[in-house]
Amino acid sequence: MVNHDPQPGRKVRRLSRFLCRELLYDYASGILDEDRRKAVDEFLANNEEQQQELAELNLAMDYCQDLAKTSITQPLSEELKDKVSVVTELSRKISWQHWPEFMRWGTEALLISTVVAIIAISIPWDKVREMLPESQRKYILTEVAKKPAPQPEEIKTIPQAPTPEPEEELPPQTSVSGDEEEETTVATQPPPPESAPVLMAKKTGGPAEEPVAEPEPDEVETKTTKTTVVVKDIPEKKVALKGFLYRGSLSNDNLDATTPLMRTEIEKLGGEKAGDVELGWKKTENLRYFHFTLPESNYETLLKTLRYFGPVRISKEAHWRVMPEGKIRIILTVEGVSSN
Amino acid sequence: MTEEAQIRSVALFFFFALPNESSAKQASVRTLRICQRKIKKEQLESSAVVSLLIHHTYRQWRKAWKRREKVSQGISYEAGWIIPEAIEIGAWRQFQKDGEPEELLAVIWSKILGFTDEDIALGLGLTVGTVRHRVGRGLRHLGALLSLRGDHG
Repeated sequence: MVNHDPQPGRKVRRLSRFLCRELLYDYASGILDEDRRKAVDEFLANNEEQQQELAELNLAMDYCQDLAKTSITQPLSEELKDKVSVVTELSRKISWQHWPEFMRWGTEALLISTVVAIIAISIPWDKVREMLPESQRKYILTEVAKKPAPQPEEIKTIPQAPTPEPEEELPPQTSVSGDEEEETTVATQPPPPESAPVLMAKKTGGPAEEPVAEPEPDEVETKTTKTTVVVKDIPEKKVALKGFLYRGSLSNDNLDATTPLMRTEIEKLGGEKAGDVELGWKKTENLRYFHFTLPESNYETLLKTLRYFGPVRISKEAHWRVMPEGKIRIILTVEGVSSN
Repeated sequence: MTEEAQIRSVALFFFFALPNESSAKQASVRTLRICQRKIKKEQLESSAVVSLLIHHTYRQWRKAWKRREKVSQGISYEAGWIIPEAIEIGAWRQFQKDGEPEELLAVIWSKILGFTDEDIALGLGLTVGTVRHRVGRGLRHLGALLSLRGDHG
């Protein structure tokens, strides 16, 4: 169809129905160029359906023009303006930049302290402490330097030999196993001449400052002493009291005579020396010490035998050391009593 | 563009784009609040204000459109919008229901509020051709409804 040819030799393409439909709005708006407009005109002249669409399009445009006359009332306009201004003003006032200085600092401090508190609560401090190296967990709690004693004659001399029975006297943490660290150590060393009483707590840097443990209590009381108490902050090892110890006492009015007899009777019943000292060790002039193991089956017999020598009292105590099956350990002290 | 003109444009847009007046009011307040804050902050010129209004009316309309089923469908036109007496709004309501949302909005911006196709294209980030296509299709759809109802004019 369109054969409108504005320039000689140029073939003008005929509009399709689809293209005409798409151009209809531009046509109704009057913005098509001359060629297109004429092409649409020619198409419309022969197509009633598109004429109808153009009429509807114009109808809709007129309708929209009428709708555009819709207005808003003054109250609505004021209402919108007020709401917007109130909201805008409110949001402006509560914005961070307009807060007073003290409120901003206070809020920041509150937030930071809250965050720090939450972090401090949530950190498992026990595990953190366990992860620290051993050397950082030693603390000197006190260092006390005693003044020199004024009179030399008040100096006490301590008995020479160490008591050989301490195996049962010491608590399990400090006594037996060498690889276990001591919980409390008392160290002595001569003080500097100008030493004055000092009480301080400081953290040691490393093992170099660790005092040497001295087990002998003899040196504790000397003319001048400086005592350092070191407490190592190590996790407590609780030793379960799974074994038993029989501790007894007996009174006798003739220790010298009965002690060899008692030793013989005990050995007859299968008793064997335990610890460092012999059976019936003379602890003091008036006290004999029997530390021995015995087959458990002979316990009753031993009791009967001991009763010949005097009144016996034996108690069974829980102890950390576990004896082999069928054996018991007994500590018996025999005290001399006057026959009067 | 004066503040009154902005208020009128936004209020009319939502009146014709949303099915009831309460949601139209809420959306108008939100849009005006955002637009006025940006206009003050960025010191926008008049032409840029139109694009800004189109952009934010579209964004707020999308939010309100998602919630449109939760609000009452009852329509009262006594709340502040005055329609010319001779106009029957039924065809427009039908167009709101049946028409494509993009076409509906394009017709409002272009033929009711009178914004230029260039401003609309700028506000929506589209080409002018796309905008004109949407307007044309929307008008054909609306015209067909009007023709069927025979109640205009």
